[in-house]
Amino acid sequence: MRVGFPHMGNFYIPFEALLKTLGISVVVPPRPSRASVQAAVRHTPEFICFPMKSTLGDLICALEKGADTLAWFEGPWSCRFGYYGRLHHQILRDMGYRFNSLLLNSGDLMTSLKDVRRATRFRFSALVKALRLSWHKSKLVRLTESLSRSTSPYGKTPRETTGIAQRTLKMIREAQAVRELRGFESKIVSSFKLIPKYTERKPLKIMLVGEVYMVLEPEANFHLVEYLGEHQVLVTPFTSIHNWMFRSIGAGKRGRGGENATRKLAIAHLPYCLGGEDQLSIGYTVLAKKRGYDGVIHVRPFTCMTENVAHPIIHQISREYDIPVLSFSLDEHTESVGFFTRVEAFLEILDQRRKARHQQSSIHAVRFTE
Amino acid sequence: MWKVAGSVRVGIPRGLFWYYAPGSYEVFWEALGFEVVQSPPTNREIFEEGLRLAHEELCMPAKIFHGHVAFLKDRVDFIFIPRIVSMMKRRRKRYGCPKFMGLPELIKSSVPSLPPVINVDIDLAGNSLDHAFLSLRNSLGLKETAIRHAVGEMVNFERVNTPYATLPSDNEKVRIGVVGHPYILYDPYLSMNLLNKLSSYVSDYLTSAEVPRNVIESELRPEIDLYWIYERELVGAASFFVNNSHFDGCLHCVSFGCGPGSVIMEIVERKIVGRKDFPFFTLVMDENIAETGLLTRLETFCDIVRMRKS
Repeated sequence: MRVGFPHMGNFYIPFEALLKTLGISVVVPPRPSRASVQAAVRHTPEFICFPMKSTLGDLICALEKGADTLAWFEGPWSCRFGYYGRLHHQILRDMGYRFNSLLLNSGDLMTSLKDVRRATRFRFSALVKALRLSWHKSKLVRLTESLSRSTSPYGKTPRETTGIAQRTLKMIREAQAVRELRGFESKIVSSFKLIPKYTERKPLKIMLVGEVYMVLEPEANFHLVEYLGEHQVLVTPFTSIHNWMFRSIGAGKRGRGGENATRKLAIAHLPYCLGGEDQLSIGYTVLAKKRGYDGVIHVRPFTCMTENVAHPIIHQISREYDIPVLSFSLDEHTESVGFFTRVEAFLEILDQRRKARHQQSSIHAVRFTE
Repeated sequence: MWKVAGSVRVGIPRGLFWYYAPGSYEVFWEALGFEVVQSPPTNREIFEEGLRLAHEELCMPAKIFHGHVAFLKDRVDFIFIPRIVSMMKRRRKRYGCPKFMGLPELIKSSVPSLPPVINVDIDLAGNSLDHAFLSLRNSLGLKETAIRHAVGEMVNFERVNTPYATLPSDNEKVRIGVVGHPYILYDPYLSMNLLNKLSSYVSDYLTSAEVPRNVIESELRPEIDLYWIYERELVGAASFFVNNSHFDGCLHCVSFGCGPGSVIMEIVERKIVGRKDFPFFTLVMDENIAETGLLTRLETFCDIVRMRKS
């Protein structure tokens, strides 16, 4: 049995480890590209969201590479994500592919876990080991990504950080067991410390909120995080692969700036979670203001159900709290040129605003001394 | 807030949630002694105001809902918009459309200078209907007994068995099933009088809202079972129409940008109709659709259905 699954940023690193430790051989499809998305779009519903189209493209690539089983999650969420597996597999069967489906249903976890076990014959004792390894790996991936984001705006050579991040991710991916990962953390931290920096730079600070796939998948948002880093902007996505994968067991929920605290900030604006990242998008927009960020970028797939309800609310918050928000609705028709023109203009505005603020405060200071 | 309710006017927008329980919210507020003001059926002004105010990516019915609220805002003391999370009394989680779940906040953020918006959270999966409306004790200062009485008056609220459902038993007439959300089908302006037009082409039709609940639940095999409460109705009805010999065709009406619609479109086309030799037609509506285009397509579809029958 060779299992294929879709991409979402660096999700494949911990997920591959999880499946491999369970004794399942894995086919990792190539990273999504324009071509893979185009191949999928011809078969998907007209106005379904972009992540569904893009992940279908990954599955086609995985099947072409020799996968004979496709694994994904489904569940009783109000978001369409709960139906991805079912739709993907039906569409692929109609296209003429033959494969087995492994759908882990979160609404009926025990039954579907037993089904998966029957199909893959993994041992429950291995499950703990596998989860532990993928927990540690995804945590290291989170660390690498966050260090790369916080280093890149200060870097003397912009591309250097990206190179180091890629090498580190490769090392994390290649580790086979938890004990091999020992000492990785300090090694990663020191390798980023060695990068020559202009420490006197004052980068703009931007919070990246929106639908989780569009935030975490670089191919979907035109490598926005990397772009901002190279343009000397300190960007913070609201979540990470680790938090997304292990949120059901509490990853990224506690603490200041954690999910639970941020949800509380959103409740005044949207008291009910709609089933996606809507409340978090709203909460992190408020948090961005509170923490003195210069602006917020909100990305969502075209026709996203929950983010489209959140969108007018976020813009109301933007007016109310005076924090600039740039919203993008992205799908396979979006062109990178138009996208980056808007991002550039936004950065320019943020820069002007910051300068104006500094000028004002220095005027105040002068008045005070007079 | 208001101790004497006599002259206080409550506005109920005629859109989205209203079509799932027509008349019952009015009964509720009237039983409490409020004066109910309803927006008229969608007309050109409401339509255009809705398009102007709403976020451009919402589905058409949600945009038009903004227009209904804008119509009411200067005519009433407060606007009633319930948040409908789940309408099914089941222990397992079932959800409605996210747009219904965030409707009060969506409206508050998009329509300027609104009177107070009063909302109740209807989540029948966890709580009873009484419980949902009892939150009005705090927001409006109403008495518990009065609320319980008024909720009791809402007989039409859950369409467990639609009273006008008489399932056809004869095979003579050319009959098609119409699948679609009631807030599109029963709004003559949005659907461009689809149902009336249909009745002039074929001798009989039945909408998904008219199919009784028990029939729908029995049609939902595990592979087409859904968690969305409103779409269960559509998929179940589609399966009923396609597999029942009294029906000669099925028309699926969906608005562009409808989230659940994009999923059930596939489920119906691929899993229910599949390779079956059965006339099935998906009609995607949006605010730019022209009436002539609609007529041509509808006429063609009905011709095909008629020709197959004879």
